Amino acid sequence: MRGDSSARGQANLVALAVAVVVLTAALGVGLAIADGAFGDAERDATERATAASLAETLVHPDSSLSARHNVLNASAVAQFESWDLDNRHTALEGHDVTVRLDDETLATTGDTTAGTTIRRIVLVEERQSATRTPGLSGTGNPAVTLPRRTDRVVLTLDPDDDTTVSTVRIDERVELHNDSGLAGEHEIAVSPLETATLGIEANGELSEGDVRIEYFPVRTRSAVLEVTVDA
Amino acid sequence: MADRAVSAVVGKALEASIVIIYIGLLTTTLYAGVLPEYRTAAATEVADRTVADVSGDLQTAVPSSTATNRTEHQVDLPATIRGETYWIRVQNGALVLEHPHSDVGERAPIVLPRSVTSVEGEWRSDEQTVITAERSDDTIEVRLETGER
Repeated sequence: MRGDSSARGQANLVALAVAVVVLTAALGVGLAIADGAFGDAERDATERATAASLAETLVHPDSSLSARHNVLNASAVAQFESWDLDNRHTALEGHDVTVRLDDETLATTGDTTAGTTIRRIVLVEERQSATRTPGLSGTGNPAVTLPRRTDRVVLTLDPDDDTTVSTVRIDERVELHNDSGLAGEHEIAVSPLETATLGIEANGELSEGDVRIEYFPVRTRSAVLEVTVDA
Repeated sequence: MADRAVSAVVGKALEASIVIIYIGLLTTTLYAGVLPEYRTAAATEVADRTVADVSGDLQTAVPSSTATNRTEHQVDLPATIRGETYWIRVQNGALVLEHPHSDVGERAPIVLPRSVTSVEGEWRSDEQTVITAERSDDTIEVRLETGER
C-alpha cells in the first residue's frame, strides 16, 4: 500500500511538471511572437522624415535648385555639389546624405547604402537655344511666329545694301526702329508667357539668311529625384 | 496508517508550493524584466514617430506662396508616452523629444527651406500644440506655440 501511495504521489507531480513545462513553453512562444512584432515595427521614422523634408526643401521655390515649385533648373542642377549640402543644410551634419537625379549622383556626403530613400517625380527644365532662319523672298513686310515661347530673342539682321530694315515689332509693339536701317545683332527681351510674333518692316527685298532669329525655348523632362539619408 | 495520512498532505503541500513558486517566478520575470522592456521599446517607437510627424508638420506649415503671411497649424501629439508627459523642444537646429524616462528620447534635424530663418519654441505634450509660421519681408519665422487644451 505504501508503494501504491508513493506511486500516486509521483503521478501527480509528473502531471504538474508537464503542466509547468507546457505553460513555460507557451509563455516562451508568446514572448518570441511579441519580440517579432517589435522587430517588425522597428523602422527609422525620423530618418525617413529627414529624407522627405530634404527632398521637399530641394524642390521648394526658395531652393537654389528649383525654377519654381517641383521644377528643377538644369543649369543649377549641374552646379550643385556635395559642398552645397553641408553648407546650406547645416542641420544635416552627422548624417550621410546622397542626392541623385535619375541615375546620376548630384551630391553625396558619405556612404548611404543602409539609409532611407525618398523618391520624388520632378520636372527638370532647360533653356536651349534654337535658331530659325525664315525663308524670306521678295518685298513686303514679313511676319514670323516663333514656334515655342521664349524669354528673349537674339535677332541678327544682315540685309542687302539696297534694302533697309527700319522697324522690328514683336506682337505689334515696336522693339527696334531706325529710319536709316537696322543691322547686326540685337537682343530683345520678350514675355515668356505668350507666343511671340515678329513683324519686320523692310524697304526693299529680303532673302533667306538676311534675318536670323535665335530664341531660347524651355524644354522640360520629368526625372526622379532621390534623396537618401543615413542617420 | 499515520504515514499514509501524512503522505497525501505532503504531496498536496509540495504541489501547491511548486505552483506558487512557479507563479512567483513568472510574475517576477514578466513584471520586472520583460514588460518594462517592452514598454520602453514601444515608447521609443512612438517617440520616433512623433518626432517624424512633427518635422513633417513643420514642413507643411511653411507657406510656399508669398501671398500667405501667416499660417497656423494644429498638431496632434500623443498626450503621454509610456504613461508620462514629455517635452518637444528645438535645440541647435534639431527637434528634440525629452522624456522623464532616460531610455526614451529622440532627436531629428530640422531641414526647412532657406527662407525660414528661425525655428523656436517648446511644447509639453498635454497642451494644445500649434505651429505658427509668420512671414516678414523675405524671411519666415516658425514657432512651436501652445494653447489651452
